[in-house]
Amino acid sequence: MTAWGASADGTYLDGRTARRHSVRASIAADGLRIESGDGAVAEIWPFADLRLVDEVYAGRPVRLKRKSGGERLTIADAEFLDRLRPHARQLRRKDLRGANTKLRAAGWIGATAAVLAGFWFLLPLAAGPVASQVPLSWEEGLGRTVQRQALALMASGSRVCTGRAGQRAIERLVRRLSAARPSRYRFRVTVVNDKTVNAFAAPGGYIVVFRGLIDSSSGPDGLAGVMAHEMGHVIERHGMEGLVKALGLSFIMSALIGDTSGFSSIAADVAQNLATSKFGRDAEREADRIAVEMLNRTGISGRGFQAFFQAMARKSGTEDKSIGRYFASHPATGGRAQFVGTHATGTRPAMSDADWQAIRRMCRG
Amino acid sequence: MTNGTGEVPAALADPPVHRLRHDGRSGELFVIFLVNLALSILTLGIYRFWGRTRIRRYVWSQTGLLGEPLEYTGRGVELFLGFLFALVLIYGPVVGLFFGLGVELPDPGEELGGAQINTLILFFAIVLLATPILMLFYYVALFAAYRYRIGRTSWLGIRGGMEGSAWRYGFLGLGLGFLNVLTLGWTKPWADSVVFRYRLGRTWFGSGRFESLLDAEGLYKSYALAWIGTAIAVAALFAVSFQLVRVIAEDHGAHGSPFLVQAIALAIELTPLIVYQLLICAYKAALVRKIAETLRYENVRFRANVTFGDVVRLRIPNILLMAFTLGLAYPYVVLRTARFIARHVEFHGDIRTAAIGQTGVGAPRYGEGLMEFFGIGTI
Repeated sequence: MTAWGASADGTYLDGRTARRHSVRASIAADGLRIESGDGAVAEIWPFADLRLVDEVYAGRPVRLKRKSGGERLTIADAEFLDRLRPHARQLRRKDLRGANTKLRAAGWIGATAAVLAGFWFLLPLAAGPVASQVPLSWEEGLGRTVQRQALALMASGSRVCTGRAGQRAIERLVRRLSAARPSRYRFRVTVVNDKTVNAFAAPGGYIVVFRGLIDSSSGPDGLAGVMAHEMGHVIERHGMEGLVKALGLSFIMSALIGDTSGFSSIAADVAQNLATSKFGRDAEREADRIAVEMLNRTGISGRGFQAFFQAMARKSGTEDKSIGRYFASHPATGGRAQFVGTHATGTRPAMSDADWQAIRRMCRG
Repeated sequence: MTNGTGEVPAALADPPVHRLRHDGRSGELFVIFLVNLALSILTLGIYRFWGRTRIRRYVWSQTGLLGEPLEYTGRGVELFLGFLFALVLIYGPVVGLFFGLGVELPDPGEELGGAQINTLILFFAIVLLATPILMLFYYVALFAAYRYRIGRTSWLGIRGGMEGSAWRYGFLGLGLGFLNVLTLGWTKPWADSVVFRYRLGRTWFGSGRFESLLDAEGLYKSYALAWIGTAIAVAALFAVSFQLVRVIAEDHGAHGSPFLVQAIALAIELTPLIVYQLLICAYKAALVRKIAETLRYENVRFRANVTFGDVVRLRIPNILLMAFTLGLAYPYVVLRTARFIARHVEFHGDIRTAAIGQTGVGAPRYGEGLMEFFGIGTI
């Protein structure tokens, strides 16, 4: 037809009515020439203004538009695009006819997996530095929320124990331990009337002790060791790191699912994790080290703490489910008892017998 | 049909029947989906608006009528701005109320003092106030989303359009929702007919407007079936589970076996839901049939020959596919739904394309004010 040689039949829509015009599209020197037999359509679309309406897949028609304007040109013969592309290179981007779908899919699956794996491995590494940047007031606010969620999750029968003398005795103990290793935290201890042998530390200094732990402890020294251990978790921000990790994971998950409402439930998830399992082997060892350090500086005997671990190691071999919780994720209790035994130097009792009895009684009445 | 060759007059001849055609291929859409997924993760979720736009473009472009595909003209940035706007509108007041007033839930286990009781009352007052507002927003967003999609859909170079007010629709939805609660769900078929009639009757394609004569007649039989069936399921499960809990309590002491109790609790929660989801398919089929039968556009009439079995075969696998693949089957679910629509929706009559002009209604409003499309991102 022209010196450029290429033309094809197509359908033209003017964007003003739904009427379809049969047209002949041809590649001219100054652009794409569109003409209908009846003369109703006679246009030239400059090559630079040409755009593909949608991505073109193999076996599907080619739809063209101009950079602006409601006119549309549909050409059934996709090969026409091959001849048009040298003149309008911008059309290449949406031309997916030659794309190897399976290869592309594999590539993107790989890329996605790599990104996810990257997040997965980087998250634990980043959690510590990120957690250390969180201001104290935020950390305390978060801790309060996590503690509240954890208490709400527990069996409805378990209430906060309010025995005043016992509460004062625990607070005295915590103050003493805290003075031995000053930190920015103010520790708040809540004793819960629940027979489970458990205790956990929420971020910001919120510590929850279950009655079962006090009952199973042979004396105040054991309780002192556990308290010091939980304080160690707070000081090392293990709970905060857990929160940061959970937040990061939920961020990824919400990106995957496309839902942003999930953030509200993170506190509940973290609370569940805190109450049911512990932080991880390294974190536990770190908390043990701090606990022994606190005990040594206050002169409190580590015997009770050691005996506590030994009792746990014995019982974890049995089928008794009520004691399992605290050490469920940490079978190496024997090793921990040994660590306390070799490093603890204190000899004094943690508190008076009267105080200890007050603590033991604080859940009654 | 105006030739003078003695052809049967158009009114007596069977009108031509047209169907949509859908050519989407799951492999192609799956690649788009995966690219979206990867980019969404990399951008912490922000890309998903552009991703969703790309998916819509694909699905629209693979759906055609009279050999001419649809075109989706929406842009990702419009969805993103709409999302930001909705975020401020919906979360702003809630966050403001909780932080501004310093409302805190009392610690469990603590004695309730006077101040805490006041806090509790305030909390419930906020919840009571917030629920209808959020419900209103939901319906407003629903209308806005529908209007956005209609306005961003074109065929033969001609746009769709919507008139009517999103807020009026919102209050309509809110009022009917309350009525529904008060009547234990028995106004739903009627409410559905009102809501769909409002939306469809204000929908334009080009220079022509759709008309809907939808009413609730004939919808109640299938709805009553779902309602009564679900009620029986709830009652039966409560009866059975009370018995079971008693047996377990006798066997294992007062606390029972936590696992069994949890399993029973889950069954109580899930079974009526499953029964409802299954039975409501009959109602949904009847509603879709009725919507199609009562809809008209110029001289074109519609049919949707959808049966209970059709809807079950569409919805139940869709729900299961999404649940068991953690959403990875999304492209496949989208395409099966599109094919379902293409298979069942019929256009009866001549579509006189030459007589359809460009949409006049609402043209200047589209794509401008954020109000036009907030809430899209949250649906």
